[in-house]
Amino acid sequence: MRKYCLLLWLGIIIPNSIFSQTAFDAKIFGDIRARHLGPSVMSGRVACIDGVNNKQGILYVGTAGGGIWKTLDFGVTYKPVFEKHNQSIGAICIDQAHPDTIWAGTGETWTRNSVSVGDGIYKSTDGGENWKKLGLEKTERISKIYIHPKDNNIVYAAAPGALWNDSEDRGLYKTTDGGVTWKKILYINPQTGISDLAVDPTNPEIIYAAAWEFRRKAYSFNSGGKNGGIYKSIDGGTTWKKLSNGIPTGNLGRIDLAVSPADASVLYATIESKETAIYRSSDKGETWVKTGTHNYIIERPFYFAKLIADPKDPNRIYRAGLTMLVSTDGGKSFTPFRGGAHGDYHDLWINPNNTDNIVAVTDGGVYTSYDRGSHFIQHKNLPVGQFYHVAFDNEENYNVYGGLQDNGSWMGPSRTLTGSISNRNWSTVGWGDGFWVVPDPADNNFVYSESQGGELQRYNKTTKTGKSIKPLEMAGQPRYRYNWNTPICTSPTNKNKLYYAAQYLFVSNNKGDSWEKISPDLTTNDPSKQKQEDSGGLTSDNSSAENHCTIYTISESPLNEKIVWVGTDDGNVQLTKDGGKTWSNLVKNIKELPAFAWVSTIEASRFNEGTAYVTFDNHTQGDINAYVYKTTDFGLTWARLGASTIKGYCHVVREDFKNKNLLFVGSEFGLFVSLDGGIQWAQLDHNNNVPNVAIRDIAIHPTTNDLILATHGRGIMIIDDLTSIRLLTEEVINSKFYAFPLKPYFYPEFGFDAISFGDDENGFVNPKSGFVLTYYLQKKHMNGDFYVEVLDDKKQLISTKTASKRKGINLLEIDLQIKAPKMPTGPSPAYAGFYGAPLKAGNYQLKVVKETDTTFIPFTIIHNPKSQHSAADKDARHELMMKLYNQCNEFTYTVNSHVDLRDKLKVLEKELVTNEKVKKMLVEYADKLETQRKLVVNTKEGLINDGNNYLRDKLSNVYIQVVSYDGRPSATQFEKSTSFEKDIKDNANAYAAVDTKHLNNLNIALKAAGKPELALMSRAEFDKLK
Amino acid sequence: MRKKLFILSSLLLSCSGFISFGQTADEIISKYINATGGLEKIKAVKTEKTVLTIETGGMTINQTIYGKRPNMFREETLLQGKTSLQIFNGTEGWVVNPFTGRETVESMPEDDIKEMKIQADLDGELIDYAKKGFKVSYEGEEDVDGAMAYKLKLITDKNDVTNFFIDKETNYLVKQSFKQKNEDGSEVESVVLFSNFKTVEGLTKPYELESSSTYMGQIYKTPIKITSIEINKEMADDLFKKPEIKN
Repeated sequence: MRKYCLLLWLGIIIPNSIFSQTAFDAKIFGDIRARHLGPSVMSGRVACIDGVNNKQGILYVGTAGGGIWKTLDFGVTYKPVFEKHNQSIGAICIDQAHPDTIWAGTGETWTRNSVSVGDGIYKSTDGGENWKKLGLEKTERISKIYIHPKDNNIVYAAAPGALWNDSEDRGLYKTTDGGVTWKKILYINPQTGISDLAVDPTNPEIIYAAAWEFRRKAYSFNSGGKNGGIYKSIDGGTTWKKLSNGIPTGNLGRIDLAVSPADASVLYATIESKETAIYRSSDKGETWVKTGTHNYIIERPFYFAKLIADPKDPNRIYRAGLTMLVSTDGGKSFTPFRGGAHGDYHDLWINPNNTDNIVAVTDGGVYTSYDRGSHFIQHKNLPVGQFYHVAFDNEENYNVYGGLQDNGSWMGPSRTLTGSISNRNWSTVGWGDGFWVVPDPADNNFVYSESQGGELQRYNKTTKTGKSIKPLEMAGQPRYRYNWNTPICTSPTNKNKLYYAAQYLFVSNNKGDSWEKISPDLTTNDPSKQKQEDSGGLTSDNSSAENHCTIYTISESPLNEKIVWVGTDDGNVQLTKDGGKTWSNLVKNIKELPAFAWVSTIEASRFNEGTAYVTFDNHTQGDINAYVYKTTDFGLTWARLGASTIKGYCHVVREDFKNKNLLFVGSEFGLFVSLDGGIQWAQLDHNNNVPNVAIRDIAIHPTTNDLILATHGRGIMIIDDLTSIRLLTEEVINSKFYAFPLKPYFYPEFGFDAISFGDDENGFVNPKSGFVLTYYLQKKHMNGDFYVEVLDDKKQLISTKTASKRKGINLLEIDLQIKAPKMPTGPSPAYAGFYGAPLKAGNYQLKVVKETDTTFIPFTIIHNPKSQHSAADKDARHELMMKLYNQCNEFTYTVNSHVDLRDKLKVLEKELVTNEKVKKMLVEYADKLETQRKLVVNTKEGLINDGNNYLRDKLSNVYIQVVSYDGRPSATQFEKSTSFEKDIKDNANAYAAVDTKHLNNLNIALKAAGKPELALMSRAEFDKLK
Repeated sequence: MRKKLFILSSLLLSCSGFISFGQTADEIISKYINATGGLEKIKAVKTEKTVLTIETGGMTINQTIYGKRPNMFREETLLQGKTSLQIFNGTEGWVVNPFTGRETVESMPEDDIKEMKIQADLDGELIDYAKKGFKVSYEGEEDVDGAMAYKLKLITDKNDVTNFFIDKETNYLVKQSFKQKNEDGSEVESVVLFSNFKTVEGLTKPYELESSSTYMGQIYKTPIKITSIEINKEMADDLFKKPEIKN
């Protein structure tokens, strides 16, 4: 087998590779950083929450796919604190006696079809800044952690465990040495894990644990079995008894527990059974009574189960569900929350110091109420949306589109003309759970979006209306089976062609008004995998999430519209080369691939008709390995890529459209890049601002070359302009220094929004818009000079910038401007002194000095080709700007040279204190100079200055007005500059008159007193000053 | 801005040294001291004057920093003809910020005084850290811009944490990271990188710094260039007295 693989690689990969010998690792990407776009407007699923009891405001929220976020201020602001680790969180527990110690269990336990996989338990002892993994790696899911209040080395962790397979790593674990070692203290069997844990608040030796038998398959879900139940230990978990008195008999499903902190004898349980309801014990679990139920308690208990007991009132209990329910009578009756919040509650934090104040976590983020759920404030700053896919349009400042878990379909700008990208820049284009959202290439007013189970619509962005265009089966036809996440695909060769798929592939040429079926059933059509009506186990649950034997991915060759690849969720890789007339299932040709592995993407190559890339996601069969394959011969033979280096099951593979060796793979645990056609892979990770989040989809924008990522837990991310990565050839990698080619630069033109945001609404950054020199360093530059000069076309120095020195790609932002004009000193700054003047369009060069090596790199500044202003207008602006710039300097020279002279007079005044005659001359001269200065420079204390009283501020204001508008200045501004000529001259003349009257006579007197003559600082001396 | 400059300037003055504590951390500190010029030379520094420029968008900020044993510190920042001052005489501190519209001498806030006591120490935090009530631990190796470094975590008696990164190859201090606390209790992580090392009076000093902070996941860098370092030149104690304002 090993030999075979070697031959396969030699035969297929190496001939396609331009450099197989040059090793690279993630350090090569250097300064490359993803830009997060959020948004936070809809937030995303949050699984759990905990708060510090004795320091108000500190909360930790554990998200389904976006890591842990910490707030110090009750959610006004948040910070992600788990960037380097698994992003799926099942449980968070703060050591209330040492609140900087926090434990986190990874692996969300709300076991929907899209749930991720954890990798163990972590601990922080510094308030979440650093985390250490402390075992339980194979538990996959941890639902509850408990820290012994008197000995924090004793910790319990409940692990429901693996969702998709048998596992002996589930159960209840205990450590007595702070996580160094763990003992499994309660284990039922490989199918049954521990869904919850509760501990007596007055006696930590009394522990209750809930056992849950559950299993998900790609096509079904089961909750419940004969091994479910509630267990109790009174000796810290050494021995256990199964509780039965009052507990329903027969199969039991998911159970959640809550002991009342106000009365330790009161214990509540929500028990999924044939009679799903709330049960209550008043004697520490020995006997139980069914108290009450509600439709929201019966519904989806695998997804909603959390019970939360009020800290002060033993009769008040909260039960998470489609909405949060509250009982105030010990569980007999329940009332839904009235407050406006996203539904689908998963956890609740009750402020122990004010139990009216609660913080709820839902599929739509975090909400705070100060009246126990009657009214809510949304935390609009938690960008943890779970996108499934991403698409873009070709607008200027293009938009991105995508659908999210339970949060509909959205579009938003990749950049804005104002300061940042905020929640208000996003708008919805579809409802339900959103998946593919694809703008119509023929008319950008239309967007194709969908909700779960194939509910396709054509959305009109102008009218904000949607028309259902889902293909429907007609009488006599088999039922169409649509995936939860049904593929929508536009043709790369024909902008009027749209694909959609059930078990058949459909094509439409009229925007979805009618469809042509162009394939037979391309799936295995296995009837045993089509019993979704029976899915759910004890509680029926058929939401379309388990729909199976469906088409999941479509890719038409950009080189030939008749070549279409299709992948199915039950493991078929189908190809037509004749536009759908005939199909071949090629999966049998793929070696090392488990049977029925879900085809998550197929990417037809842009470079060769016979080349395609495929990812398989086999985690629904309990296998989280990466399966990425490439064929160059229409699927007859396949090479496996990245098997040992790509971490986690893969969702997507994309090929760059310019460099055929540049490949990207998104897995459940991050983004992986190959520069050599798939031989070597490196992860773009937290160092590049890409946490280990699930990358569900990847797109490359053809105009901007941006790499756009759909993450399932951290919203949309963009790596702006991947040109430098694209150009990392063997030659570049082997260079000590390599400067990537510079494109002509033009200054961006921005607008503004005069809107003040609170801290509770975060903005997301726009791409950096300054001039950037991108270069590669083979090694970090530690010693010796390394700087970059900007020179004009006559090689005159304009500015100098210290170079960035890291190994790999460096992005050095260089200011293309002349340093700000000098302004006279005043009690408040003249703002012109902070604003340099942008350079004129024309030819320039960079001089890069790296120790003894000097490199000249020419570049040009051009007028913004998409500007609203003509080149002539811009030239006019530049001319006036420079005139004002020079006027500022001329005026400042006059003032400052006389301030300098005044200071010299004052020094002499002290030195010649006994020479009354000269002293009088000195005082008089200095006073006259100061009198003149006070006419043109504000010398009154105070920051507020309307800028219209003194020439210094008038000049400053008009200069800034002209600098900050890219087009032709107003006639008034031109006129004002002319008027300044007189003002500046008048001021200079006034000073000159004072000098004429005093300087000569003073110098004669000074000479007589044996002192050197005074002279005004020259303009050349002034210009040399920094 | 004031606080930022304060931190930057204090870093410039820090050399480092050691006293035995954790074995591995001390070995690394020892290597670092040797690479810097040796404990004797470090301890022989009585005064240090550093002149630097901070490159920002359209302007250059010039700064001069004075340090004198024991624990005296003065920072002058020149901008638009005005000089802002931070002065610490070892126990008391003063601040002059002429761009607040009123040129007055203000007492340094208590929190800044605490910080200044550490920053004004010519030896830096690592030297005699145990005597100073600090703890240092070795936290393993970490990549610093493409070269591996030893990471040392220093916790002060006030529980403030600074991470020091000592380059594995040269044993120079190449990076410091720390949390800067805002008045409201929120924190901003600051990172300073050191490079372009030169020898002055037998001591190896960085002549280029890069201060960076992260906002919304993006890194914003400010380069700082040192134009001169003078060691053991005469420095009047008057520089560290409460300033008088000239009108």
